[in-house]
Amino acid sequence: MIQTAHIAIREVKLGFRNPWAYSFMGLFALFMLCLLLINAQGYVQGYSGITGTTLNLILYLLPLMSLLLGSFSLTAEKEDGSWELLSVYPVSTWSFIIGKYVGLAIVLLVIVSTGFGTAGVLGFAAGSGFGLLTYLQLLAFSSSVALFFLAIALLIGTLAKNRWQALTIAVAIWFFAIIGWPPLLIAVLGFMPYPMIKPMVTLLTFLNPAELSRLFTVVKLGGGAILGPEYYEWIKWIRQAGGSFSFAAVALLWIGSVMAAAQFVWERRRLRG
Amino acid sequence: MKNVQKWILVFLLGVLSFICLTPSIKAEDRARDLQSLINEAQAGATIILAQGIYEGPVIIDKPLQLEARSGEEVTITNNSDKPAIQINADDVALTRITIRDEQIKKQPTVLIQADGVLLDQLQIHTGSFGIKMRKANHGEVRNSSIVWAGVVSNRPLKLSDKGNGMDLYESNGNTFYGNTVIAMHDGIYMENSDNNLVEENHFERLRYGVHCMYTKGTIIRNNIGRLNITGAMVMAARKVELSNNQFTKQSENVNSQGILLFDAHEIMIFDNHVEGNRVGLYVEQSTHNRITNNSIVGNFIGLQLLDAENNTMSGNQFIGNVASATSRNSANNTLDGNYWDTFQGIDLDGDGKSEISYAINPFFQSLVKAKPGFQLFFQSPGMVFLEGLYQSQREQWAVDASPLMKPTENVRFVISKHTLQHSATIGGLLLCLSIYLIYLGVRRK
Amino acid sequence: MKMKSFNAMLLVMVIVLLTSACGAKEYKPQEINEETDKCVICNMAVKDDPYATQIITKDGQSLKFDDIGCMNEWKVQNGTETVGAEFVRDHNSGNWLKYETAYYAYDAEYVTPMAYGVIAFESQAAAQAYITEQGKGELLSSADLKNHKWEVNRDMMDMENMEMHNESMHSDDSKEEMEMGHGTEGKDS
Repeated sequence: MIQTAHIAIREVKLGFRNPWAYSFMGLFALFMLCLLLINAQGYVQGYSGITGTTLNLILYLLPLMSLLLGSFSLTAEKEDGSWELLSVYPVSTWSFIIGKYVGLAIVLLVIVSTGFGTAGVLGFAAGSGFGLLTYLQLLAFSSSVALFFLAIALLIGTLAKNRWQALTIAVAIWFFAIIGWPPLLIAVLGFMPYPMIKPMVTLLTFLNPAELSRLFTVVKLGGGAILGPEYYEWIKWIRQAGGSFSFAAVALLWIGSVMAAAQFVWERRRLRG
Repeated sequence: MKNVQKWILVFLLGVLSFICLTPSIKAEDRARDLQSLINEAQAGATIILAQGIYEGPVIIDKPLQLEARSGEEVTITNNSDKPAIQINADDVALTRITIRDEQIKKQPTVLIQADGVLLDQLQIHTGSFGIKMRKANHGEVRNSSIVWAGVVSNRPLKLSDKGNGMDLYESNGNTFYGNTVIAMHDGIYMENSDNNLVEENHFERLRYGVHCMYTKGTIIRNNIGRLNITGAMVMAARKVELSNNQFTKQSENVNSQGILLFDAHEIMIFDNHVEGNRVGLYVEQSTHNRITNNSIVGNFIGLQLLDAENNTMSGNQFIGNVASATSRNSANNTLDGNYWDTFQGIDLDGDGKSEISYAINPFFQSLVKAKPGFQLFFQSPGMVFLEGLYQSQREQWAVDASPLMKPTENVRFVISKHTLQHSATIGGLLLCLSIYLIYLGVRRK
Repeated sequence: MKMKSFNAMLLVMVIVLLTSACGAKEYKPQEINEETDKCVICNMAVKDDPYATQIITKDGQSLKFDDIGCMNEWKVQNGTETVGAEFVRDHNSGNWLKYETAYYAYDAEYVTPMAYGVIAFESQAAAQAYITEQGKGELLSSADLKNHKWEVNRDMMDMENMEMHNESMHSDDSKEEMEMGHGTEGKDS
C-alpha cells in the first residue's frame, strides 16, 4: 500500500516536470475556451449544438493525450532502466501498476480540471458558459474518458518495447476507437441479418470506452431520444440514478480488467527477467 | 318585449337561487338538479347559476346561457358514462363553469352538436375527451382550461386511455382562443374540419399539441407548446397557416418534433420559434409549402426533409442545433438565404449571402432508414468524419443555394436560463486545486 | 481489445449461422409499445388499440402501422417480396390475426386513425355483426382487399375542385358537397 503511494507520488512529480503535460494542458484549456467563445448562445445546457461539439472535441483530444502520456511513462521506465532498478526492491507488480495508474490519473485529472476551470472562470467573465449540471456532466465525461484510456495506455506501455512503438499503437487505437469505429461497425455488421445488428452494436459499444462514455453522457444530457426507439429501454435505464452507478461499475470493471492484463504481462516478464 | 321577459326571468332566477343558496350553505355538496332548471327555462334565457355543486349529465336542447357570477364557484360533476354536458341546440353559451368528469369512458365531457356555441372560462377536469364537436360550426371556445384527471387503478395508464382536449369532426369555422390544455391525448384534433382558428393557446404534456387531419384553411397562430411529443402535427392538410408559435422541449420521446408536416401542401409556416426539440422541423412527403423566417434553435436535429418537393424555405435561422439538417430524397426544393450556424460560407460580392452553397448530407439519414440500429452513431466523431467523406451524387442532395452569412437578428432563447455563477465557482475551485497539486508536484523536497 | 471484440464477433457469427440453419422461420407479431412505436408510413404514434397492424419482414424487422390503410400503402411503395408475415388485430378482442385469414368491414364513415375505414375481425360473423350494428358498411375478405381502392374518408386531392364553390358557399353546403363526393367515389369502386 505504502509502496503504491510512493510510486504514485513519484509519478505525479515526474508528470508535472514533463513539458508534455503542460502543452497538453494548454491545448485543452485553449480548446475549451474557444468552444465557449464561438458560441453565440451565452448559456449552454443540455444536449445542443455546442455540447455536441464539445463532446466530439474532447473525444478527439483527451483519449490521445491519455494514451500518449500513459504509455510513454511506462516505456520511459524501460528505456532509462529505472524498471530494472525498481525490480530489485520488493515492490509487487500490482503496486507498481496501480501506483503508476493513480499517479498518472492525478496528472490527467489536473489537466482536465485546468481546462474546465479556465473555461468556467473566463467563460463567466465573458458572459458565456455552461449551466451547472451540464458543466458537471461534461467534467464527468472528460474524467471518465481520461481514466478509461489511461488504462489502455498502461497496457500499450506494457506491450511496447519503446516510445516509438508505443506511439504507433496508441495512434492506431485512438483512430480505431474514435474515428474508425462507425465505419468499421457499419461495414462489418452490414452483412448481418437485421435482428443481430442491435445486440451486436450494443455489445460492441461496451468494448469501446469512448463510445460508451459518449452515449452515457448524451443520454444524461437529455439527448437520449435522438438515439432512436431501438435503444429506448437502455435510455430509460441510464437516465435513472441507477444508470450512473452501473456506468461507474462498468468503468471499474473495464479499467480493472485492462490493468489486470497489463499486470499479467509485467509479472511474466519479471519472472523471466 | 321579449327582452323585458328575459330580464324578469333572470331576476326571478337570481332571487330563486339566492333563496336556495342561503339555507343550503351547510349542505354545500348536495347536488342540485340542473336538468330541471334547464327544462324549465325558456329558449334564449340566461341562467345565472348560484354557487355550488350541480350534478350532470345535462342535455341542453334550446338556446340558453348558463353562467356563474364572476368570483363564484359553480361546479358540475358527472359520474355517469354520458357526456357531462351535451349541447344539441344552436347558440348555447356556458360561462365560468367548472366541470368535473373524471371517470374514464368513451363519451366526452362536453359534446357539442350545434352551431354558434360559446364556451367561455370553463375549467374542465376530464377522464375522457374534453370537448367534442360534431358538425358544430362557428362556435368559440375561449379562456378555458382542459386538464386530464382520469385515474386507472390496477394497470398503468395507456396513451389510448386519454381523449383529446378538443376534438373536431366536420366542424368548420370555429375559434379556439386563449385556452390551456394539459396532459391530454391531443390538445386540439381537427379532422375533416376547415377554416378553424387556433390562437394563443397553451399546450403542455400532450401527445400532439395541434393535430390537423384532412383539413384546410386552419390558422394556428401565437400558440405555445412545450413538453409534448409533437407541437404541431399537420397531416393530410392544405392551406394551413402556422405562424408565430413557440414550440419548446419536445425532446423526451423518440418520435418527438416541434413541427411535423406529413402529406401537407400549401402550408405557410412563418415566424415560429422552435427550440430544444428532438427534431425542430420535420417535413415528409409534403409539397408547395412556404417556410420562412422561423428560428430553429438548439434542437438535436434542426430540419429533417424526407421525400419533400417544391417547398420554399428562406430566411430561417438554424442555430445551435446538434445537426443543422438531415435529408433524404429531397433535391427539388428551393432553399435560399437561410442561416445555418454549422456552415461556413464565403461572401465574395458583399451581399450578405454566401457564394458557396450548403448541401445537406443524406448519408446518415439513408443509413438509419435501412438499419435503425446505427442511430446510435448520431453525430459521433467517426460518423461526422464518414459523412465528410461521403460526397457521391451531390446533385441529388437538398441544397441551400445562397445561405446567409450572419443571423438576421439576435436570436432569442426562450428556454429558461440559470446563472453561470455556479459553474464559475466550481471552475475556480478546480483551478485552485489544480494549481495546488501542480505546486506540490513541482516542489523540490 | 481488438482481440476481444473479434472473438465476440466470431461467437455471435457462429450463433447466427446455427440459428438460421434451424428450420423454417415462424413470424410472430411484436407487442405495441406506445412510447416508441410510430407508423412507418404516416409518422403517427401507434396506439395499443385494435387499429394497429404490423409487417414482420423476412429478416425479422417489425414494421408497425396505425391503420390497415398505411400497411397497404407500405406494400404499394415497397412491394411484398421482403414481407415475412402481415398481422392485423381483431376489433373486439385486440388479438393479433394473420392478415390473410382475417375478415374485414369497410365503410367510408368508419372512424379509423388515418380514415381508411377498414376494420379487421377474427371471424366472418363478427364482421357481419359489426356491420349490422353500425347499419352501414360492407364485408370484405383479404382477397377482396387486393381490389379495394383504399380511399381515405376525405381525399385531399378532391379539395382542389371544391375550392371554387367554397368561396361563395356557406360551409354547411360544402359539407354536403363533400358527402356527395363520397357517394360517387363509392360507386366508382
